[in-house]
Amino acid sequence: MSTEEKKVGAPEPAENKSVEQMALDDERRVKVLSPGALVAKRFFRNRLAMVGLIILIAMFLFSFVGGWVNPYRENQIFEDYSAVVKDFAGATENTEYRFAEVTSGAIPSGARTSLILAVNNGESTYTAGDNTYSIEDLGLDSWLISGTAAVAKVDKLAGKYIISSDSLEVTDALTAAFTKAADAGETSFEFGGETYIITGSNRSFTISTMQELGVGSKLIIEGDNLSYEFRKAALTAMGEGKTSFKADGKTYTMEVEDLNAAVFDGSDEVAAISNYSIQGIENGTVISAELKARIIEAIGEGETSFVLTDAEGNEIEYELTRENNRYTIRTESSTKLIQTYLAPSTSHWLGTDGYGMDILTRLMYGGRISLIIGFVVVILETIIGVVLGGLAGYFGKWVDMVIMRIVDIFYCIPTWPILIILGSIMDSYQIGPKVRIYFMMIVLAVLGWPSITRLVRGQILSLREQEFMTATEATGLTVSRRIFRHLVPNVIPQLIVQCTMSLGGIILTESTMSFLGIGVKFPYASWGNIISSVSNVFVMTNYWYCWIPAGFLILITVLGFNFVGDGLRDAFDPKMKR
Amino acid sequence: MRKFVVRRVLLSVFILFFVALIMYTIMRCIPSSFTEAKARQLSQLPGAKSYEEWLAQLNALYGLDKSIIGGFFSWLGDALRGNFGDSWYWNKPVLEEFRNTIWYSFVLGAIAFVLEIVIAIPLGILAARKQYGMADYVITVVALIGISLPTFFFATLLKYAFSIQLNWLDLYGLVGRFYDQLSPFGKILDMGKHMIMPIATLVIINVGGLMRYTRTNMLEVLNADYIRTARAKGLPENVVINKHAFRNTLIPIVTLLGGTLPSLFSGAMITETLFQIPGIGYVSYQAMINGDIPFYMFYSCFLAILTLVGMLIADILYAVVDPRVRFD
Repeated sequence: MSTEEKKVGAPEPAENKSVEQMALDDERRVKVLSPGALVAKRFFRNRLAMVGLIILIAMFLFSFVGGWVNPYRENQIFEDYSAVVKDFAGATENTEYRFAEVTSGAIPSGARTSLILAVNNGESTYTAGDNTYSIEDLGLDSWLISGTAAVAKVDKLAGKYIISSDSLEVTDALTAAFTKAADAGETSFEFGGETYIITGSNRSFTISTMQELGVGSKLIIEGDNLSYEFRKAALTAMGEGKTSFKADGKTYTMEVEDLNAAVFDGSDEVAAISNYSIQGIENGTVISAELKARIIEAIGEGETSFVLTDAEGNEIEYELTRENNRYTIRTESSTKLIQTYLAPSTSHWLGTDGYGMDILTRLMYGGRISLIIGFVVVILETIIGVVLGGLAGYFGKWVDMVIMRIVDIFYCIPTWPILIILGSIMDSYQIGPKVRIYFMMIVLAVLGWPSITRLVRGQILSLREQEFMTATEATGLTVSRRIFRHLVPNVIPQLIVQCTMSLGGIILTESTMSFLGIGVKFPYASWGNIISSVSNVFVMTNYWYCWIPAGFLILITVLGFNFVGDGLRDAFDPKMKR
Repeated sequence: MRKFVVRRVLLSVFILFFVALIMYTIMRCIPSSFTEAKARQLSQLPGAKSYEEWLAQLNALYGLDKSIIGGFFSWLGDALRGNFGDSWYWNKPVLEEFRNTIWYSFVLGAIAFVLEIVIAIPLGILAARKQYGMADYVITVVALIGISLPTFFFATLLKYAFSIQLNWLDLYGLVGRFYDQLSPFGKILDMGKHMIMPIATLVIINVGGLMRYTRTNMLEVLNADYIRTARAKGLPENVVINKHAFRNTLIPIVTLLGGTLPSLFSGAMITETLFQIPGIGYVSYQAMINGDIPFYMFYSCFLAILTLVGMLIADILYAVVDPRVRFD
C-alpha cells in the first residue's frame, strides 16, 4: 500500500523538473535497444521458448558431456561370472559286461555277446564264430574268459602230417601225438602236459591251445593306467571276498562294501571298483578316482549331497538326485553370462539391453549421433538452399526458372521409397555402418534442400525491390556482395526459424530410419535403433526400460527444437502480437 | 483459368518425367548381381517362373541390358501402357496388389482426415481467440507434442497401454481371430475395432500441424481491418468470430486441405506397418525392404503423381475459394 502511494503521489520537484527538460526521445529517458536485443528480449520472455532452450541445453549436456563423464564405453558388453548349479556327471548302475583284455582285441565282439547267453545257460564253454571259449567263474558275476588260439598249422602231404609253427617247437614226438589223435578222429590230444585242440579236416588242420584272453565283469574298475593283471587280480579278490591281492609285484589292500571297493597302494587310493558307471555330462569332464569313489559311497549310503575337497583345496558341494536307476550329480560351476535385460540398478541406471550394454550409455552416444546428424544435415541443406535460392531470387528470369523447376522435381521425389531402396542397395553392397551414417547425411540433405531454397528465393524476390537494393546498385557493389552481404542477411531470421524447426524433423526422420533398420546400424547407437528392440513383443511387454526412455528422449529433443523455433518466430516477427 | 490449369498440368507432366528419371537412375545403381540373385531366388518359389524367364522379364521391363536413357524410355513406354510388371516380393502383378490394398489405406486415411479437421479447426480458432491465454498454451503445447512425437514410438506406446496392459485391443492386424464366424455387422465392428489404434496414431501425429496452421491464419485474420470494422459496428463477438473471421480463415485452410486430399491414397507407411494393416503403405514397405524393384518403381511414381495432383488442386482451389485472386 505504501509503495503504491509513493508512486502515485506527486514526484519530487527536482525530478519533475529534469523530466520536463528532457526531450521525448532523449537517450537518458528512452532505453534504446538494438533490433537484436529486442528479439532476444522477446525470446527470453517467451516461456515455451525458454522451456525448449532448457531442454536443448540439457540434451546437449546429456549427450556430449554425459558420454564423456560416463565410466562405460559405447559398446561395452557387461558380462558376469555367476555360479550356476549345473548337471556335472551322471551315474548309472552298470548292467553290461565290461572287458579287460590281455591284448587289445583278444575278445571279439561276437564272443562278448555270446558270453551273456553262456552265463545265463550256465555253460562253461561256448562257441562264437569259429572259436571255442571257456569261462571260469570268479564270483560276483565276473568271468575269466579263455579261448582257443592257433599255435600251429598242419598240412597233410602224401599221408604225412607236416606241422609248421612259430611258437611251438616241432618235434617228432609232437608229430606222433598229433598223427595218433588225427588218425583216430579225435578233436584234442595231450602233449607235454598241455591240451591241444585240433580243428580242420582232410588236408589242413590247425592246432590250438586254450589261452587266457581276458576278464568280463559288470563291476567297473576306475583308475589311471591299470594293467590287466591288476584288474584280474582285483576282480578275483572281490569275488573271493579277500581284502588284499597281489599284482605287478605289489600288494594292494581293498576296502570292500557290498559291490564297491576302494583299492589302496599303501595309503594312496589307486582305483575304485563299483557296479556304477560314472560319466561327465560335458565332453572332457575329468572325474577323479577320489570323486568317483565318493559318489559311489554317497549312492550306497543314500546321501543327497556331500562335500569334497578338490586338488586345489576348495570345498565343493555336490548334489545327488535320483531318477529310476540313474543318478545325476549336480554342482555349482561358474559360467560367463552376458547380462542382458538387467533391470535398472545403481550400476546400470536404466538397465542393460539385449546385447548386455548399458542403456543409459547407449542413450548418451545415441544422442550424440542423432544431434550430429541433425546439425550436419541442416548445415548442408542451408548451404545448398541459400546459394541456389539466392541465385534464383536475385537473377530471376531463366536462372529462376531452371532452379525452381529443379526444386519442384526434388520436392516431388517421395522420401521414404528412396530411403528404403537406398537402404537395401547399401545392404547389398555391404557398406560399413560408419560410411552409412555419412551417406545418410548426404541423402537427407539432398532430399531436404528444396524447402529452404523456396524460402530464401521468396524472401529475396520481395527484398530485391526495396530501396536499399537500389542503393547497393547505385554504389556499384559487386553482385556476389549484393546477394550475400545485403540480401541474405535479411533472410537470416526466417532461415534460423526454418532450420531450428527442420532440425527436429531431421531427428525424427533419422530415428524412424534407424528404427526401421535402414539408418544407423549396430554397433553405433541411435535413439531409433535402441527402440527397435520393441519389434520383439516380449521385450516390449517385459522390459519397458529398453524403449520408453529412448522414445521419450526423441520426443523432448524434437519438442525442444520446435519450442525454440516457435519462440524465435514470434520474437523475429512481432506482427503476430495484438 | 483454363490456360492456367493447362499450363500447370503440362508442368506437372514435365516434373513427373524427371522424377521418374531420377527414380529409375537410382534403381539402376543396384548391382546386377542383386537382380540375378533375386531372380534365382524367385525362380525357386513354388509355382514360379524359371530363372531365365524372370531375368528376361526384368530385362524387358527395365531395359537393364540397355543404357540408362534407353532403358528408361523403354520402361516409360511400358508404364504408360499400365504394365508395371510383377512384384518380386508378392509374386503377382503390382497393379493387382495395388487394387487389393488401396481401399484399406483410403478408409484409414479418410477417417483420420475427418477427425483431424473436426478436432484441429475449432481448437485452432480457440487458441487464436485466447492468444497467450491458458487455452492457447495448452493447445500449442499439445499440438507441438503431436508434431514432435515419433510415429513408431507413439504407436508402440498405444499398443503397450491398450493391448498389453489393458488388453482391450489386438496388437496387430485388420481382423480378429474369429472374423470368419461373425455376422456382416459384426465383421464391420471387428474391423473398426482394429482400426482404432492406427487412426488414433495418425490423428495425434497429424493434428498438430493443422491446428497451428489454423491458429496462425486466424490470428492474421483477427488483425485485419474488416474485423475491427465489424467490432466497431457493434456486432456480437460470436458473429464476428463465426461469420466474418471464420469465413476468411477458411480460405487458406480449404486450400491446404484440398492439397492434402490426394495423399489419402498414399497410405501411412509406418503406421500401417506397425499395426500390420494390409494397406498400400504396409504392402509397399514390405516389398521395398526386400528390394522389390517393380513395386518401388510403381509406388514412388504413384506418390509423385499424388503430390503433383495435390499441388494442382491447392492452386486451383486457391482461386476458386478466394475470388480476389486472379490468374494472369
